[in-house]
Amino acid sequence: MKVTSETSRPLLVALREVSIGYGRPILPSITMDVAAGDFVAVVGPNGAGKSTLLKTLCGVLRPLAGEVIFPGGRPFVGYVPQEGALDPIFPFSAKEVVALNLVPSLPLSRWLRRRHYLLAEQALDRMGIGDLRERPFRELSGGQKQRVLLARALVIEPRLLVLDEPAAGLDPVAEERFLGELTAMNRADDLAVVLVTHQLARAASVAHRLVIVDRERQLVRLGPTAEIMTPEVLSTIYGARVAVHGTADGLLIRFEPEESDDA
Amino acid sequence: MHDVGFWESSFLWLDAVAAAVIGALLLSYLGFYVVLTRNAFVSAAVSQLAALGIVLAILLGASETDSVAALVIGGQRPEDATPLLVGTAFGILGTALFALPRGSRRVSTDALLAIAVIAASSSTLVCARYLTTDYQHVQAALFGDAVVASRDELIVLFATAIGVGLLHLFFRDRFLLVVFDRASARAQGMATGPWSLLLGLTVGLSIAVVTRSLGALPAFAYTVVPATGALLLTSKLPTALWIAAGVAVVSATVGYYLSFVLDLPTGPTMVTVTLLPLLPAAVLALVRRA
Repeated sequence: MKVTSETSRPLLVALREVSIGYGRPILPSITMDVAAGDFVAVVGPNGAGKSTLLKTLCGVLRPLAGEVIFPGGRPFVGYVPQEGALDPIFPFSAKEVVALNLVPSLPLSRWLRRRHYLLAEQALDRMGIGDLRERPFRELSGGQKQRVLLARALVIEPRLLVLDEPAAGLDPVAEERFLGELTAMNRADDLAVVLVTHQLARAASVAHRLVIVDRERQLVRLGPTAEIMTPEVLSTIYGARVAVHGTADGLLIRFEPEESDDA
Repeated sequence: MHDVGFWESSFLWLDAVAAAVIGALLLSYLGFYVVLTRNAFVSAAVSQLAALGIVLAILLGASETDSVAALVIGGQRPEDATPLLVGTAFGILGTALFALPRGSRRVSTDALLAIAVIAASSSTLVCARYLTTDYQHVQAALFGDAVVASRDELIVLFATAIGVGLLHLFFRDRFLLVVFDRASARAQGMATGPWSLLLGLTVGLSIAVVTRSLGALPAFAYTVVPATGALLLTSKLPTALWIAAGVAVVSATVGYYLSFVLDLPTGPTMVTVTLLPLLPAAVLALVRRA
């Protein structure tokens, strides 16, 4: 299938009528593109299908139907899983966790060498946690682990970065810093970012485009952030009255209860 | 106690000790994959599936003889090795359970392996009812006793250890990645299924060969105990590997020696010696955590 980009930037991934799920579809079919420099946030309630969509988009899961196309060949994809996705039983240092992600790009006859561990150390330095390189990964705090996982995703110099609720477990200050770093990398390096979160307002403040999914209501809605984040659209999506207020700190979204007929 | 001294009778035990050391080293290394993927029952699954494979091969006529006694160990080459080969293949392929992708499962791999053990054990005993020979011979064909080892057994064990060792030397990083973070590997386009299968086959083959030489209990113990003890003692994988290797070599040699001079069953004595460092390791780990 020939795929053309809606933007002038090179298209990295195209989903065409893709059906996602484990064995049976959990959402209506999805068609969407991710181009270089995009910042896409996937939002929705718990269990909405956000992670399944993310995994399908980056090739971790096969689609049940439709096509996931990499028009320019499979790009380097940095994947940051949910916190807790990696079993803490493994006795790896932070440096080893980062270096292991270089393995798929090695020729078959090669294994990790000193220069790969140096790259891992540089990635950790870039995240400001170079001093943790020899510490066991399982003994790190939630915020430190997230930085190691981001270093791990970045060590392969990806063109597409996919993150599954990376701010879960972070305090508000750490979360703000983390998202700030993501935004900076997105702008400076033309890095495409696809981020799963359940915080609508936070997603709207950083993403160019939103994908709202809800398995229970069989809902998929895609569009530019400015078009999605209106009271009318959000009220339609969530089936409740929604107020959107602009504040100095960003958007404030309030879900207001429907007035009772008895009132 | 023996009339002949331990060192004077070295011609009796040299091959057996060599087999024990090689088997213990091989399984104590592969045991890290077993323990880290929480698949402790994989050894039991291989043994039981192999037993079922032998019984089925005989009943379905894969062998011209139903005399499994012909297969029995003791340095003699089996007259008809078909049931044994079928059984071993059955056991090794059974470890495909160990290698299957885990992402979408609703139950843990350990639970699946336990079900495989239960199903294979019960099916074997039911099918064995129709054998014209004693089921004990099936077990004898499968499970070594660690007391003696034929030169053929030693060669097979050594060749397996070299082959598996070379595969893991070249592909260790890939094996580690697919068991640690399959999703990230797949996101980069790595075909994780074949690597998982290859890892599972090396584990299954090694367990089958060591079980044939040392017995089911030592094989089970060496896939679980040294790695567990080492992981309790250290958070560094290279250090853990050396600790497990040390425990394996010491327990195989000291265990054999003690079984000889104290006239104890060899396999269980090796296992007991393997277990000895586990208690202080657990206490140390608890103290560290406190």
